[in-house]
Amino acid sequence: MKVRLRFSKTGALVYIGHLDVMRYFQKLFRRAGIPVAYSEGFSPHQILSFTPPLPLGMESEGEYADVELVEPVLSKDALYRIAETSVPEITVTSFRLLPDRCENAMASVKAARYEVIFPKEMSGSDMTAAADDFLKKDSVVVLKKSKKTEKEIDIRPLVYELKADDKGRVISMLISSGSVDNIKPELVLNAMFGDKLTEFDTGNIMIKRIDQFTLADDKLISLDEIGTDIT
Amino acid sequence: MINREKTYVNTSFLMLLSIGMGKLALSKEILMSIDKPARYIGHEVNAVIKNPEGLIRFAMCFPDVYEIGMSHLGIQILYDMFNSYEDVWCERVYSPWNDLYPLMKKDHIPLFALESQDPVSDFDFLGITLQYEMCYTNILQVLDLSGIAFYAKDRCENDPIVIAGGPCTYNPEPVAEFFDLVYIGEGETSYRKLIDLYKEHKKVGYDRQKFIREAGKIPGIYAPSCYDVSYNEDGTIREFFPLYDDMPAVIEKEIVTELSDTYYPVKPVVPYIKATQDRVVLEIQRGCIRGCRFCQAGSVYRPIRERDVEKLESFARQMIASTGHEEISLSSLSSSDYPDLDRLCNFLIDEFSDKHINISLPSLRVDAFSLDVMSKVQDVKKSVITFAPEAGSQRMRNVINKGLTDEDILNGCKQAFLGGWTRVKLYFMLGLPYETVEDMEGIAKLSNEIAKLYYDTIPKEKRVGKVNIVSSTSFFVPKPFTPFQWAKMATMDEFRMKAKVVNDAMKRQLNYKSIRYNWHAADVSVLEGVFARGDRKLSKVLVRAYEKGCMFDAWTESFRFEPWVEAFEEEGIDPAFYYNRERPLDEVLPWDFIDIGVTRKFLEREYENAKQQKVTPNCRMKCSGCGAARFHGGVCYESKA
Repeated sequence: MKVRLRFSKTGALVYIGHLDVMRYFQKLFRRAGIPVAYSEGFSPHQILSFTPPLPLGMESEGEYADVELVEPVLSKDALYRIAETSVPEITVTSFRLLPDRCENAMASVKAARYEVIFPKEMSGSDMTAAADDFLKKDSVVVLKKSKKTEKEIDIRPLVYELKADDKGRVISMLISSGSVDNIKPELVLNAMFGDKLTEFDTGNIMIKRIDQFTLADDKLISLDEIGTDIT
Repeated sequence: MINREKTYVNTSFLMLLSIGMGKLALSKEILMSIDKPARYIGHEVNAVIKNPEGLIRFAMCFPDVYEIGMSHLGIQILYDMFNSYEDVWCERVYSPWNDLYPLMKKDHIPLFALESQDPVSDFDFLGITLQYEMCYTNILQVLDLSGIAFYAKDRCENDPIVIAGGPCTYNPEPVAEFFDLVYIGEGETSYRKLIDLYKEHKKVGYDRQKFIREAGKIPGIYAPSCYDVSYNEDGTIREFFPLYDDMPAVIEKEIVTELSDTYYPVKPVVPYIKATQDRVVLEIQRGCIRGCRFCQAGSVYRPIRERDVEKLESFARQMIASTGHEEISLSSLSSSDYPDLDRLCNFLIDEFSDKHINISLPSLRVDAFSLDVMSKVQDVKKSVITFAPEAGSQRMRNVINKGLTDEDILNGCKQAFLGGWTRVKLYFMLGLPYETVEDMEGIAKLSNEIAKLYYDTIPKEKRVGKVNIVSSTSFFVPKPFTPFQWAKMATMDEFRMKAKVVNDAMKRQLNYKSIRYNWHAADVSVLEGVFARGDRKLSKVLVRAYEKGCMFDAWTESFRFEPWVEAFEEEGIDPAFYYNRERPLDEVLPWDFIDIGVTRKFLEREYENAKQQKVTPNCRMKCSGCGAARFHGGVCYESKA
């Protein structure tokens, strides 16, 4: 049986890389006595799968890990035992049994919601205008760079929601994520503000991942909505 | 406004960071620009956080990078001990790596402790452990970044008291002037007294030098500034003497008599990044019965003392539960000499092997028992059988009192080959006193014999490829408080020649294709040799080397020899005086003021026995009267059948 954990990663722990987060959970499960299943063979490892790596330095409220159990454990007991031996900067908020034949956390991610929080001196009403302008366009072609390649892509169809709050301090966006058509929130911001951003103190902008979504009946739903509490 | 039809990604923008974390000493710009920022953020599971108000603050520093420092059991023991004191908060400090160091220098960012992220200069004490000589320049890096003067005499009233500990304090003299205090011996016994004295002094008009002088009267604590040294014309020491009548002329090392009744870190800090020792470590005993004549640890930690096996079993359970580590390991100088090893190994196997916890058993003598245990806990095909014959010939092994015979090694190998093992690692030393060409060639011959034994033992149809033998030699560095403390160490050219003799001999062996031979760098060994037996005159060489950028000298990738050569030249000091010189028995040695229990008389006797190739029995076979019995503990007081 497989369960899905939702967790947040905040504070100083934004400097812990993805592999170390995985190691953290392996040790956490052993400390908390979660009955995790191990693979076969000479070097057995915990059967564990995570959502795509969070960039180093970014906070998140919506990370997920799927883990295979050898026996059930009540959700509230598991959450309690995990909280007792976890650092506050990684907080597990749900522990749910997944339905059989459910796609794993990594593969199921199709979209992610981010919040971009601007410092006071950078905020203002033109945030809303910039968001509206972006949404009005039919296509926004940008250059996407990876370690090896550079290619032009149209990100407009990959942005599902984009809006600023009343004060113009926070931009919220729901954008494509996962193994297909993955885009970063910075790509959208850059398309919205372009060169103007270089004048900003970019280091003072905070981007936070809020949640990750999968497709169910053509609708985006939170990964947290799949599965049920074990009671 | 901007052209929104076609916008290109501003790559620096991808460096966007979140903010709003807990207090960190380093800015996000810095943390995002360096390798492994997790080295500097603290916040680990089991890290101890206290409200600092009214507490004595102790910064415990391992002067090397985080992953190395976090792997050290001694620091974990002391961290646990200090934090068990209600009036003390002990935090950890490690050396910033090469990438962070220049950034801290440039922006004047003070070195900080991991838990509170507060500057080290705010602490009451800065404890620095001296684990190996090649970390001495890192001490200066730590002081420099902390804004604390290198030399104790130049420090301000309110600077932390800088105190050294660890194995290199058995000759603290090359670094003595950098320390206000040096703790000689095991940390569990005298620190409480030191803290109490400090609190007393703080209550009534604290005077730094007065405190240091009083602290120097606590057992095991040496206050270098209260002593002076005079020299003969040839540079040797004429006299080492206290400056005040009330200071002890001799400092006795501190030891824990009952190892079972002392601190043990059952909730060690769990690093996020992979530390070198990413496992639970059980220290089963301290000290060694063997008396190998090259080994400093075997001498300074005498007498051997064991931990109670029941306590160890309870520690193992608690530590696995508190850390979630997936591996457990034993620590000691020679695990096979632990009387309850059989019971402990069976316990570990019964308790943990079905819980996906690996068991690693280092420093076990290879015999039927250990092979049986190892086959239960390891994948035989992947694991390696390790021997440390230390020397290539029986003659030479008698010189160094290494009680391991060719027969032991070959028997062990034969059983291992029959058990399915195909990989053997052998450790040797080159440049030992009285070494001959035959002794060196013996290394190649023994390696070859083991390979031959494999082919003789395992029939062709049962072999899985070749046997794999890796022989490594390190260069012998004479250490204080060993019978070889008077011996001349070989020069770099001699070392290279010796390695060539071995290498050439390897190529002449029938089975040379099954053997790989490695040797260590000679230049680092020579420096180690200088500082191991150095005196106070060397501190200025260290300062100069640091100013020339020497740091992390224990790391091959950052070690540079030339600046060291310059530093010695500029200070007018000949390194050969320290390493490449036989000392007469009546010479005053820089560490003579330390009493480790083992007497100088015994060491002299052993030096003579080495010359005569005479073997001295181990402590359990027969007491050789080394002097350690005066600690009233351990093997010296076991009933001798």
